[in-house]
Amino acid sequence: MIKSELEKGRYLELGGERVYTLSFGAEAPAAWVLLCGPFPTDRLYSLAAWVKWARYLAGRDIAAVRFDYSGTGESTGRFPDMDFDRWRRDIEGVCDWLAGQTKGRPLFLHGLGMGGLLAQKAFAAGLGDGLLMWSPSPNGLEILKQGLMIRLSMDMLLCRAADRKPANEYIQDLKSGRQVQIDGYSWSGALWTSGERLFMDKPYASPGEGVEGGSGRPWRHVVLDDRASPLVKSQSMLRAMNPRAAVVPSAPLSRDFRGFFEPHAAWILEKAQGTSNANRHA
Amino acid sequence: MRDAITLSWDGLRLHGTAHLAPSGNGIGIMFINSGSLPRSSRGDLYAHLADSLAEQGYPSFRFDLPGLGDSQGEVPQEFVEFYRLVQESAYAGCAAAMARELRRTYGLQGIVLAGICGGAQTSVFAAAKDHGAGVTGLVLLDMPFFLYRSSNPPAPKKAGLPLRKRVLAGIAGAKLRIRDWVLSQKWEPVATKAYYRMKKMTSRTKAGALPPNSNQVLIKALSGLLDQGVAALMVTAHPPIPEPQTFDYIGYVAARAGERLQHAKIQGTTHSFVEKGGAEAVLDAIAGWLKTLTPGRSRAGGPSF
Repeated sequence: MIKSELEKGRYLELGGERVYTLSFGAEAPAAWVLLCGPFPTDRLYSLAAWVKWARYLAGRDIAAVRFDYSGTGESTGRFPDMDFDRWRRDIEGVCDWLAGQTKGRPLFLHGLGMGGLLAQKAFAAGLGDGLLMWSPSPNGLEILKQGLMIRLSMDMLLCRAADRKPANEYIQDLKSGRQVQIDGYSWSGALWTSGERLFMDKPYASPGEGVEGGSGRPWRHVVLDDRASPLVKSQSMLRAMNPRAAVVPSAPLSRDFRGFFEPHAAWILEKAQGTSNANRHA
Repeated sequence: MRDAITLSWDGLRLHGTAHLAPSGNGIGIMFINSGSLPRSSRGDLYAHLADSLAEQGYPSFRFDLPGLGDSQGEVPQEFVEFYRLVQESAYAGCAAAMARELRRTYGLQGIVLAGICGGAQTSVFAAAKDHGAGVTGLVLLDMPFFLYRSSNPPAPKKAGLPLRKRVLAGIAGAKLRIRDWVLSQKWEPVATKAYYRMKKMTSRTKAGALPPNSNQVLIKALSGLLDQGVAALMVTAHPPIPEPQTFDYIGYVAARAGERLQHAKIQGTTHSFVEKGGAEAVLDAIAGWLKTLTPGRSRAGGPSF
C-alpha cells in the first residue's frame, strides 16, 4: 500500500535551473535509491513504468527519488544548452540534496539506458553506496546515434527522397556547431562532443555484478529485453503509439512487473544491509 | 515559474505542474495527456506551450491522468484498450474534476481545456460533463473523430453457424490477417496510399454522411458544446507528403457551428506538432485564438468575465 502523503514533487535549484524531483518515501526506509532516467526521447515511453518501479521500491521500504534532467520534462532550461556533462552534474546535485535526507541510510544510484551510464560515472567518482544499471548505454555516441535514427525516419515521412539528408551530414552539422531538431529537441554541437567523450568504465561494461575495487561498494549491470517493454522501447510499442488510421496493433502499455521488480528490490535490500553492517563495524 | 502540484481524485494522487502567470486575465489553461504520453508530451511541447502562455497572462496547468506519467493509478495492459477508454470518455470525469479544482484553487473565472489526439477527445468529453468546471473554451489538436480498434479482434464463435456464415467468417479472418501482414511491412505507407486512392475512386459514400467508424458520441458532444456557446479551436497537422484523404469531419461540425469553431491548419508538421516549426505555429494559433475569448462569449449559464 502506497502512502500518498509520502509522495512529493519539488523543485531543486541546481546550476541556475530548477530540477524537478519526485520522492516516493517510506516511513522507515532501509535504503534510498536515486533513479536516473533514460535519454529524454526514451523518457516518453518508460516514465510510467519507471514510476511504478519507484512505488514498488517505496512499498518495500526503499525510498526512491526520480528527477528530470535540466532542460527536459518538468525541469527548466533550454535543451540546446544541455549536454551529458550537465546531466551528470544534475545527478551529483540531486545526490548532494539527498545526503541531507537519507539519515545515514545507504544511497543507491540506479540508472536506465543513458541514466545507467551517467550513474556509473557518478558512482566511479565516489557517489552512492551501490549501483544498479538496467541496459546502460555503453557510450554517449551510441545514445545519440539511436536518436539520429528518429530524425532519419521522420525525414522518410516528411521529405521527398531528394531532400533527405544522410546521417553523416547531420553529424557534420552538429560537429560544426549547427543545431539539429530531433523529436522536438534541438540538439547542439556541445551535446554531440560531450557524447564523444563519454564512455562506460571497463569494469562495469559487461552484464554481471561485482564490487568496486577500493571501497567494496556493490554494483550490478542487467540487460533488459523486449519483455521489459514499456520500460524499454519496443517496435510493437512504437507502432501502437502511432497507429496508422483506425487499426491499432497489439502492444503492451502496462505490465505486471512485480516478478521482475522483486529480485532487484531484494538485491538492493541485501546490499544495503551489508553496507549498514560495514558502516557499523567501521 | 513552474511549481509541482498534486490533486487527489478517487483515492489517487495525481501529479502535475503549474505555470503561473505574473498577472492573469482570469482564464487558465489545462493540458490533458496526449494519448498515453506523460504530461510534458513529445519534445516537451506541452511544457513549452504552458511556459509561453503563462508569460502571456494565462496560468497553465498540466496533470498526468491516472496511471500515466507520474500519477498513481492503473491503465489497461494494451494500448488499444486504453484508446478505447479514452474514446468512450472514461477520463472525462477525472479531467472535469481537475479543472473544477484548479479553477477553485487559483480563483480562475474560466478554464480552457487543451490536448492532442486523445487529450482533445477527453477535453470535449470533460467539457460536456463540466459539473461546475467552468470550461469556456477548447483547444483540440489533431483530434481523431474515428474509432480506434484492435488489429486482432476476437475470433467469432464458429460452432453452430451455418456453412455460409462460417465461410464468410473465414474470409473476413483471412482479410484481417493479410491487412495485419501489410501493416507490418516496410512498404506499408505506399500500399496504404494506393489503397485509399482506390477507395476514393470507388467510394459510394453519400456526401455529408458520416463514415461508419465515426465516433458519433464525440461528434455529438462537440456539436452540443458549440451550440451552447463554448468556443473551440481545432488545430490540424498537415505533413508535406499528403496523407490519404479522409472524411472532412471538421467541415461537418463547422457547418453547424459557425464562428464558434475556428480551424487552424499547420502545414509541414506531424501529429505531435514537434516537427518543422509545428510547436511555434501551435503557440501562435492558440495565443491568437485566446485573445478572441472575450466576455459574453462563454457558454450559457457558465462563468462570466
